[in-house]
Amino acid sequence: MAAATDRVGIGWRPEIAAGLYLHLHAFDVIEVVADNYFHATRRELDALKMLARQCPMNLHGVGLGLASVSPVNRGHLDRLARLVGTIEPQAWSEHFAFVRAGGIEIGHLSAPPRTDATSTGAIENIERAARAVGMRPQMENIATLVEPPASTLDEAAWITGIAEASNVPMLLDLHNLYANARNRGEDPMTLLGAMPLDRVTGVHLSGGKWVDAPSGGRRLLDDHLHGPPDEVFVLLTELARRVSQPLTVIIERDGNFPPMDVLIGEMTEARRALAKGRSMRMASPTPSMARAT
Amino acid sequence: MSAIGLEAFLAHLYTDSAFREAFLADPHAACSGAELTAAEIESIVAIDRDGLILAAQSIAKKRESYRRPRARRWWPWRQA
Repeated sequence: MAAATDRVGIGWRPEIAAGLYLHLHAFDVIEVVADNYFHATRRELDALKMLARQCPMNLHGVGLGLASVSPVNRGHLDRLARLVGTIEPQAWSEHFAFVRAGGIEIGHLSAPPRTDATSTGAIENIERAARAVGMRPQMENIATLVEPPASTLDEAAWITGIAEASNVPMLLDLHNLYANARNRGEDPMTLLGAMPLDRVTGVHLSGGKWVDAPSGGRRLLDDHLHGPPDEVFVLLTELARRVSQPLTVIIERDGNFPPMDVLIGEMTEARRALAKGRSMRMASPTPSMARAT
Repeated sequence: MSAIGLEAFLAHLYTDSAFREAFLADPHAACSGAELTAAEIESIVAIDRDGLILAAQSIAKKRESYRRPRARRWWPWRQA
């Protein structure tokens, strides 16, 4: 069994909401995309609030673009703050990403140049967001097919610097980590070890597919349309082995939805991976493997 | 100000296919006039072209998905 405080849940998506609701008892927690409810009706908000009373809920933001040298969009932040105030989730999260610049809405989580400037901008934006919402966000690493130019820091150092200066917990997306490492020709396990693991309280598991690059070779596209590959569950086991804090694991799927029993099976696999890591930790505790705070 | 210009340039590069084509044909020319330092320009010119093209495709697909009708929210207590 996983440690009693580890939890496994799923991303709530309208397309599969009926099936999810029928299996609500199977989820320790559900995660709802906050931005989908910024313009919800009162009845829809009441329904979401009722759902949050039936199953622990986290709200997941995708549109703040906190990792930017520009201040976070105030209107967007106010909408998120109102939603959090209405729903009262257990936690809320956002990304180490920028989503708009120069008057352009990118419409996708994008990696900014990893520099001292974007680090400072992210720290300031996280503080603005934490003040507005009244709760510090979990911050999630993103997948990127292109390494941001003009970067002076590597991904792990940049994320660690921001997370520590902001004193925020981390939502570690293990498929994003896996995809970035593979696309850079790095060892995913080494990248895992370089992350601020002592801050990880949440985990996302998703999948993707290999696509052909124009000049040859292949890249791993994190599309959230496939189940997590075996390597991601191995990373989860290693994470559970390395850290002592409880982990909340969310299976993320944005489309190409399989039957509900497949999704439940992925959750079972996640519980198995967690349990294996916790057992290994119990058998051979290595508390110093997590980064020192 | 250059850091703001750099983010704006990347947002343009990722989302505007005509600008991206021009950049891929002549990166230095596409960077001229942008609010970028010389070092930033050299780094952008050396960008991973395959990664840029694939990232732009992924972004375009996501942007296109916003134009499709979204699934209706479903609540069991509305069925009664």
